Amino acid sequence: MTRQTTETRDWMEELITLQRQPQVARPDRPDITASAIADYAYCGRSWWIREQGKSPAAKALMEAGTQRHLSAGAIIAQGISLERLVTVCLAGAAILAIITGVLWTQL
Amino acid sequence: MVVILAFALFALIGILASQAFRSTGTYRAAVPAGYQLVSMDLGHEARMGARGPVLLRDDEWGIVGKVDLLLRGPQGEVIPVEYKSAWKGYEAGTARRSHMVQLATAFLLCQGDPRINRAPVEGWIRYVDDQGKVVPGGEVKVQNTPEARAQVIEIVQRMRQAKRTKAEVHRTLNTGYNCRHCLNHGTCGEAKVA
Repeated sequence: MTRQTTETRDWMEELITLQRQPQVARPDRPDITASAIADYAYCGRSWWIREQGKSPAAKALMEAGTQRHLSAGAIIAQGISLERLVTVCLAGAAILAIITGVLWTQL
Repeated sequence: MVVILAFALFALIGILASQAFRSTGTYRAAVPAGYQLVSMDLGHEARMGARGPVLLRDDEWGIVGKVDLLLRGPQGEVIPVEYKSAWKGYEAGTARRSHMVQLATAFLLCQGDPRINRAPVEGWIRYVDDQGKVVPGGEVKVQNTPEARAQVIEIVQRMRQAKRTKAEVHRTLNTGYNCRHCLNHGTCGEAKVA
């Protein structure tokens, strides 16, 4: 169980610390994106039309989807900010409690 | 005296912020208690810091993608979450096939990317409204199966073949219902709209 916990911590830490590493595609094989796969799963021809650059509606769809994504993300980002504020305040309060304690003993 | 006042101020702000954090039910709905947020690709990168978007790569199949939300479960498991727009008349507990395929692609990416290197047991699709809130019954849990993986690989192979041969790809939808809602039906030339 302890080993499993260590392993899981590793994948999370590795992902967070290495996430900005550039990812390199193979020159002989262009990458395929997950969203393009979803497009093809919906309809192969719909994906093909987008590939040909003949999809004027695709941009509108992307913008509408992005707006909803941003709204959902705002809720999470707000939670993260509050979580950070709590951490900073508790750390600050703990430091001040120690200082108060030290000063109190010197009085 | 100043130090005591500062301590009280910090503690007060901390308690208030903690209560505000707990009351953000929508946040807890997104990241349930016991789960950790690993990365997010829903905008707001500046506020997310190290938990911003991560580009995952599967070198075996040449697939890349960013998962909307990557969570770490209580047992250390990885859970990809995709956010999708709920359509008019959305039925609780349902998910579109293409959305399930995208989630299956996320499973494949988690397994194939050496930084994660583990297959998720399941993933979640969340259907949201205009305000970004999950609609009632809009969280659908999808199991990772060998069939889902095979489906993604088959699609990737078809796409590569189409790119290689530059052949025209024909309609694969079988119902007029879907064609009517497809944004490309105007330029398709093969759309069946009842």
